[in-house]
Amino acid sequence: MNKKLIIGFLVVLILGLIAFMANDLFFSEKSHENPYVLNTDSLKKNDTSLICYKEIFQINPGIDELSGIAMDERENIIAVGSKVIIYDKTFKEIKSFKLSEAANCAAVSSDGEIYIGFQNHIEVWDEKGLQIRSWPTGNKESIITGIAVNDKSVFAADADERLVHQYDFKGKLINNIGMGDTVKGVPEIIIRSAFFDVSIGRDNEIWLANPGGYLLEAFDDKGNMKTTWGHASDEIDGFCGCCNPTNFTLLSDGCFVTSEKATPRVKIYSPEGKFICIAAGPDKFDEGTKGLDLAVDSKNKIYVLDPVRKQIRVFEKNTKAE
Amino acid sequence: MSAEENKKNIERREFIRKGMQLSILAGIGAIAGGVITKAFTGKYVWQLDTKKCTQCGRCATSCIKKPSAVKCFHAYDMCGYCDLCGGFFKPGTQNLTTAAENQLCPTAAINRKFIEEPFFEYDIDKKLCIGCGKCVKGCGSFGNGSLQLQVDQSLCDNCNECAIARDCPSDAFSRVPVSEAYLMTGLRWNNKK
Repeated sequence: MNKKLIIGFLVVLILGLIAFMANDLFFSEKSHENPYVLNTDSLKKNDTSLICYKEIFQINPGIDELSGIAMDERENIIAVGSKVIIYDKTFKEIKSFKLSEAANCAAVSSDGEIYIGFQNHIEVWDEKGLQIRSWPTGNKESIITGIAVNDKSVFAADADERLVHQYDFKGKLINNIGMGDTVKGVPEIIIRSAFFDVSIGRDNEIWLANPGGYLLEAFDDKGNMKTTWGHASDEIDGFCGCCNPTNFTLLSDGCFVTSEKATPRVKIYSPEGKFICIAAGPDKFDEGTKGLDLAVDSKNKIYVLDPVRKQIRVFEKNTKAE
Repeated sequence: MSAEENKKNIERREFIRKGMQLSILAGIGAIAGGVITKAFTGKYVWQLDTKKCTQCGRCATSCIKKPSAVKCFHAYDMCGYCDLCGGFFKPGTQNLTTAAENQLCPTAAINRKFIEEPFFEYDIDKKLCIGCGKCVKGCGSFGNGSLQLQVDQSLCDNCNECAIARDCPSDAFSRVPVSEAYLMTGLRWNNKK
């Protein structure tokens, strides 16, 4: 009797042990985890309550090298890459023309001239596809990654020289903005990868990104620093990675729209640099997306150039967020 | 023995002698051919393609060598020399110090050296590196991707059937000519090509 009981107990014990081993070997997720893997999935998640924009449309320009967008005064959207494509405000293509090489960025003046930044030169085209003029930066190694135009000057952000070149409309160099000044305690621009953007503020101040310093910096047209904001952080209110923001622009109310790489996302900051909300979280972009160029219209719609999906993605303010 | 039988014996001997000579010549030819072929085609070694690598961590565990012959290599020309280095610090690190709890590398194989504000240099201690690729993923996710996994040819036994190649989920391992034994990306490496 005792023997049978012991044998029965042992059989149950062995079966239990086999079941445990089989579960551990074949069904347990934990057992398959490699301790040497860095899991970055959590970085792609964001607080959904902070999202204040929704995607409403995607434009597919159908060009491989899509790298910059701009908006003119009539709210036509200008996409540049291996060619220039102009869309009207209903996203209908109205004009396209080829470029001799791939462009990096674009801006449009108040009289409709399209300023296009290339590797080491700037070209000016009209909206009909006629090249008006061009000028070199004077440095073969220049990389013009951002361009902005106001009523007096053209500002070209040169990622190689880590400076913003200020030109008149004919291409004469007026000034270089962003040079460090040890006497005044102004640090140099830090560029760790070829992302360097420039934009014009509401008071005609020149805003430029200092991605290595995780800052946005404002200068007057004489090159004097006026103000800065931004900080490095893995939290949502800061800029993380090696160098961010990669691109930015300003909304009509003076708020900033910034885009980042590493954790690709588009965020909104107040004119004072206080984080407001997320326009597009990392879940909206493919892994490794970088160089999200931005443009905005008068209704504060945000146009995000997605170089991986080769689309211009249109985001509109979420009415729930208001 | 008749004269005819004697002639037949001589012919047989001649046949065997000529056969032997031909065999020796064929043997020498085969050896020479092998040597020449080897000299022209070169030796092949195992290497992993950084563009295909997903840093799954199996290089650290699958290699027959302990620690693995796969190591982290640093393409300095691609490095941003960041203070907040995604390859050195664990995500979410608040204080950028070299304290062990802040370091991403499980064996503390990355040395962080201050250059000038705000630039830091990162060197790999190959003796400590186990080739897990955690730093490579961190650098690629947050930085320029200057940290890259490569088979260290001075350590690899060049097995006929590489255990890591067999386990690699992204099929990043292949045999490459010894003259191009490293498949790193970066200005210096790309210019070489």
